[in-house]
Amino acid sequence: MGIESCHPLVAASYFTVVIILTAILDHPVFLAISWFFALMYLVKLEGAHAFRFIGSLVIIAVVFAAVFTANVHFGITVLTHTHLGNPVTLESLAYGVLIGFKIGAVFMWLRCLVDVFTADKVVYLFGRVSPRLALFSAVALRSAPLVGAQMTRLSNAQRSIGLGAGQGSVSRRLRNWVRRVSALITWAIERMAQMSDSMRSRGSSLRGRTAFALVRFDARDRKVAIGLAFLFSIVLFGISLDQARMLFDPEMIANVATPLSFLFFLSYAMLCATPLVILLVSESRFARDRSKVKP
Amino acid sequence: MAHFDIEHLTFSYPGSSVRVLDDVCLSAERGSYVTICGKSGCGKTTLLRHLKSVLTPHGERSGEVRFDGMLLDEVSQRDQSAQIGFVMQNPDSQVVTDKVWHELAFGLESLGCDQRTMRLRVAEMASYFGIQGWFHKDVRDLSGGQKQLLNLASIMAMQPSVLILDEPTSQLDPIAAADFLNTVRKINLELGTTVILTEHRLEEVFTAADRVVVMEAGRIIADADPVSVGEQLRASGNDMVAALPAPMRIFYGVTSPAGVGMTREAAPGDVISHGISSGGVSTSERCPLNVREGRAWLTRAYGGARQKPMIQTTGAKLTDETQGMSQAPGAKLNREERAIEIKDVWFRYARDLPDVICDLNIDIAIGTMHAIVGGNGTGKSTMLKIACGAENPYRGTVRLLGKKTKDFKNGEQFRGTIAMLPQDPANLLVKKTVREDLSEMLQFIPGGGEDAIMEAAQTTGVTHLLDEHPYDLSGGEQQRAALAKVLMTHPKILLLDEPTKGIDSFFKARLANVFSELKTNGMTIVMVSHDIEFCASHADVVSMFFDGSIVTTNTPRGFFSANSFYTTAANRMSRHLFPQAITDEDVIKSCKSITR
Repeated sequence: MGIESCHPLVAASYFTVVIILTAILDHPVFLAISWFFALMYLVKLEGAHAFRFIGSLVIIAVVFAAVFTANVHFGITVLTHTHLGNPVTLESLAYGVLIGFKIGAVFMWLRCLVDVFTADKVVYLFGRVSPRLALFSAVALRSAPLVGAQMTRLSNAQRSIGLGAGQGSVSRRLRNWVRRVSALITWAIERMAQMSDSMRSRGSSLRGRTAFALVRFDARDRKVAIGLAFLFSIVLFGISLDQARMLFDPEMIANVATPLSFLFFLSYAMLCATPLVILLVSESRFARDRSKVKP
Repeated sequence: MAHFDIEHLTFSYPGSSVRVLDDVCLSAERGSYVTICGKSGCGKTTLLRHLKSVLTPHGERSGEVRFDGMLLDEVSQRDQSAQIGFVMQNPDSQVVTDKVWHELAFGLESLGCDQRTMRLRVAEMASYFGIQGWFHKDVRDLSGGQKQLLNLASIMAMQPSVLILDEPTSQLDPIAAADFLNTVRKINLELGTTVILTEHRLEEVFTAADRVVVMEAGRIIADADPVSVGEQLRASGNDMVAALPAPMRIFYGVTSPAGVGMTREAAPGDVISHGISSGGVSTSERCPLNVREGRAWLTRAYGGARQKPMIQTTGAKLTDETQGMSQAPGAKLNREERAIEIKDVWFRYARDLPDVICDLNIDIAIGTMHAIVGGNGTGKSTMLKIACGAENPYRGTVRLLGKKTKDFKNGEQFRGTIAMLPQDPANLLVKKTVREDLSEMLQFIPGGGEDAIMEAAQTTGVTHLLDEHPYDLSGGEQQRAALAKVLMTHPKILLLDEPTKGIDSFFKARLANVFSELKTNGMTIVMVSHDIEFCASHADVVSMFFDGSIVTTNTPRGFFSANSFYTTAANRMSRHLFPQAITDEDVIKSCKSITR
């Protein structure tokens, strides 16, 4: 229902833009906006599960800031000195905190991406580049879990004759593990041969392969794409006006916020909020429609 | 012009003088349904692989294969990919992509179709094959039967004119197998697609096929309609008679004086005289191919003789056989008499998953062969895992020879008490040769040496295979090699998970001999199986597993004669006359006792 229901190209471009912007923009307001909406979106997607992840990101940010400040000493506003006598400056502290939170924001966006951008979308994107690449990615996606499942079967079988993972002395366990891995490799080779027969039998080596996809670029995708492009342009405009930049060395300098700056902030906020808004709007529509259905 | 023409095809693998195919001549008409059968290793698969260039093995070859009148080698790869559909044995390893919809489109992508065409064809295929319901699923969530159907559908999407299937149902359970073969039949009847199929489960294909080709050691020994092929095999006393559908075997058993088990001794070419045979049955009757025809034939031949006393005497005679057992199954056993005792067991794989085993109670008597039958996903295999202590129930107790599985520490039950042969026996064999695989078990046998290996190999009949690579063996051979390895631990209880899966009737018979020999030596065997015929002939006790527990336990005769769906073909065919007869031999015996 969210952005994952848009065309994969739209979704992929969106995440690429947002993640890159988050990574390069040094202005604290921009970072705060990105951080906030990444957090909101992640919480919406994962529920209470997300807090553990977010909590660890905050810890990382704090630790990073502490380590950064203790080791990097630019800036003019000295707050205190480390036990080695190096100055701890406000500028380096602020920059450390900023970088720490920036890393957190990027990680949250990546996690949202992983949650909504399923493997078949990846295969589709590869297919746009080259159908053969898409084929190989699809084969890889199918094979990886199979190898795991086969290892489980092997272990179970071996255990039932007393040669399992947890049986015997340490050296025997190690030897048994090596045997299982070698058996797994034999199995994989055998399987690859059969799979390659099946692929070649269905003409995988013919020239002029195409890639089938269930997705279509529809009117809504166009709307979303145009809207996002519009917001992105405004943000770019703001960046070109140095509105998204802040200097920390030797002192903290940012352009003064003018009424126009708020337009850039707002556009960036709208850009970052898009997936969350799409999700919330479609959910509330469903809820409204459902409430109309008489029980 | 025939669709496929094979002329004097001879083939041997590189470095081998054995002719895997020996002067094979075969032609398949457009729209025909040809079944090729024969023992494992007779060259069926090699023959089929010669019908598509990309699959043709390397080796010495003479003779030619023509497709639509053209030499196959001259038909372009593109045409071959689309025109010649090839379904292989293993459902799992043929699937290439991870989504059902993607797999359906795979061949079309290869052919370079545009999106619009692919969309339509994929939709068409999904609708024809009833795949809509699982169109968006991951392939790994499908059952074996669904996977094989998907393989078929994704090949049919390319609209081939001929469909070649190499033992497509050998890895499927009987219900999925029958479904699959019905779909193949439907394609043949509704689309006129030529079908060339190898099978070892002949029950379904014999009624569907126009022609049956029997191969033996790389040669074609019979090629005619099913009834004539049956007659030819019977007349020449060929081993393949044992693989024929039950109604045919029974018919031949009754109409030939020697009986079906004896046909081997009949001299080749010894044609049974038509007219009235010693059984008193007119052999000018057409041989029945399926249960319906078999029933009709039995009614015509013996329905008139249906008298109460007769039935009762046959019935009495048939029940006699099972009285060798000390106690009736289901009776309370003393703890010393139980090999396995499962009491009030409940099990689930994870806390938030449903129960797989619920309230399971079963006692397995020492020295018996206990078969457990039932549908897919009812928890049969899980029960075996619990029985050997590989999984622990969250409620209830399991005892092996009186000792709780919990009290076996560090897997010591697997050294001399119990052993399990898993569904895929290849998973037990991890070395380069069977001999190496067996020798690694010597670590468990203090002072054991070459003689221990030979003993296990002899019991299972794999002495001639000791230096082969496990992956080069056929299904039945692999099964026995794995069994040999298991036997090296000298278990008192042997658990078998689907031991006859993918194995043809000859290897099944050999396996049955191995089991009965082990049993004579005092071993307890528990077997989970879909193979009703095998259980009816070889088990001492049969239990029905359903919905996580045992529904009933009885002797094979008591069990199968009480069922009307879940029973052997022989019983379904003859139950209106001989309700107690469950195997082919029973029916033959009953028929003969009437006429005497």
